[in-house]
Amino acid sequence: MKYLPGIIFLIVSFFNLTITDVFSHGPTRQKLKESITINAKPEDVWNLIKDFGKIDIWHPSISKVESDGKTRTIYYSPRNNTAIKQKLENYSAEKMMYKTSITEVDIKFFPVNTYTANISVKGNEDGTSTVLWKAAFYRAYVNNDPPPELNEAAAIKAVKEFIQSGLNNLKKKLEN
Amino acid sequence: MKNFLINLWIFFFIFLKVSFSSDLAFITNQLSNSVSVIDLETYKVIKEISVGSRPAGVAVTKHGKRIFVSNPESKEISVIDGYKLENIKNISLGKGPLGIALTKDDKFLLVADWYDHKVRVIDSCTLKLIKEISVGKSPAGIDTDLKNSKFYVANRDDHTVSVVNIKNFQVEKVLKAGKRPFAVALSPDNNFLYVANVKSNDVSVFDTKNYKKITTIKVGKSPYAITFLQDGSKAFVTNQHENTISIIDTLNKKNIKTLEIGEYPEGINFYIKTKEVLIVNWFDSEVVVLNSMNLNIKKRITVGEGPRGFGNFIGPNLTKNWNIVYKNNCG
Repeated sequence: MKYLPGIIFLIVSFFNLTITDVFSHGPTRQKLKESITINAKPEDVWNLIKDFGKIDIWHPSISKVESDGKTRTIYYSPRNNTAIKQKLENYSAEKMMYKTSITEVDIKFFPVNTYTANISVKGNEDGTSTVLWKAAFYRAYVNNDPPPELNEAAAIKAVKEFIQSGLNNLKKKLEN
Repeated sequence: MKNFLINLWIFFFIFLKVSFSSDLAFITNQLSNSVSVIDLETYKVIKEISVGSRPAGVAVTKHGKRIFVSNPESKEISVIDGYKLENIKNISLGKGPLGIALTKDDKFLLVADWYDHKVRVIDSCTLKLIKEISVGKSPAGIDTDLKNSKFYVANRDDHTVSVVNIKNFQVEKVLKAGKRPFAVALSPDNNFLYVANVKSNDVSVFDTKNYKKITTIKVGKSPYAITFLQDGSKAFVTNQHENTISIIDTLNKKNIKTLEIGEYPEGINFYIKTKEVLIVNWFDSEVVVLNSMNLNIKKRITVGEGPRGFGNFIGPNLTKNWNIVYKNNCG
């Protein structure tokens, strides 16, 4: 019985951690800009990535995706197959780019908040293409003094892994 | 002849003042923990000053002697000396200082704290804490009126704006805004208060005489900050998630134009001298100089990483020697 206050504290902290106001965030936004040059025509690169609902055909770490064309739920295998719900914010076939946001995520596995990202394809003079993937997001912990698993570094690591593995596999697929 | 000489002297001094007075913009670079100082005559960055951790908010005194910067991550206010352009002091303050503003007499620095839901009042001269005012949840943007009688603060996670009396620092009224209000801006005549609502993608307009909400104007995605032309005829709003600015006709209270500007536009200030609008693009790490009349982009100035420039970031350039005569007080 003497552990009861401790247990209550733990339960309360757990709820505070997981059931947070989804639109709150800390004061500092993070950014990442990753790109890769692929020995393929921009049209061919775009053809592979253009379908928002079929990211699993080129991203190696997505075990399953459910999509209605405007939203998608991806199951991200390196992080416990966690479900990440995303929304298509903007799409331009002409510019070969689209913008997505995360609408629901379990921060225990993917510690980010208010994430938006833009993926685009550009042709280079030598006939190759460059894919640019830009992301803007906040750390998962909305209060000050975050624990290490929910801090800026943890958020950057999660997003970087997600983007880099996608880009690397895209290159591999198109160049083989 | 004597009169002529005196006139010539006066004319000479006016000429000196006009031709040598220039201004600076102080841009907070959140991801490089610094402030980029832009000379608004040459549009060049003349200095990058180290401040605290994750700087966001900025406020410059009228005479440019002090520049204040909020650092929410290190929980400090950095004080920059306008003559030397050096960070002279970091003051520990609260749990997450974010939006900051000076009263128009430059006596008080108001600091909204994102985490403990208070606005702190600092004496801008002695840098002493004078008062703590409880406001709504996650207070952010602040604006102050011309008469030094009231200030307004947007409470982001309460969807409200607190109206605070500067004479006694009491909250007089709480206004219901749209969803997640972040920035507030008074029209130049102070008759209207504009509030940018990040989640409802609109601007609430209040009449400051009776605090009634007059209208709500649709803008782009995730509006962040607002500035007015000097005559108040137009308001410019940055839309973070749309890479655009919205231009509002304030007479008809309508959004009349949307303009592509760059990625994640955030802080925005009107620069009276050149009638240009300076817009801080967070993702592109640049300041865009926009001609407010023909809406042409005149220049893109590269600054530090992840600039936010949240607040009034323009002030006079005091780095030229002849200004040293004013050095004694801190305003």
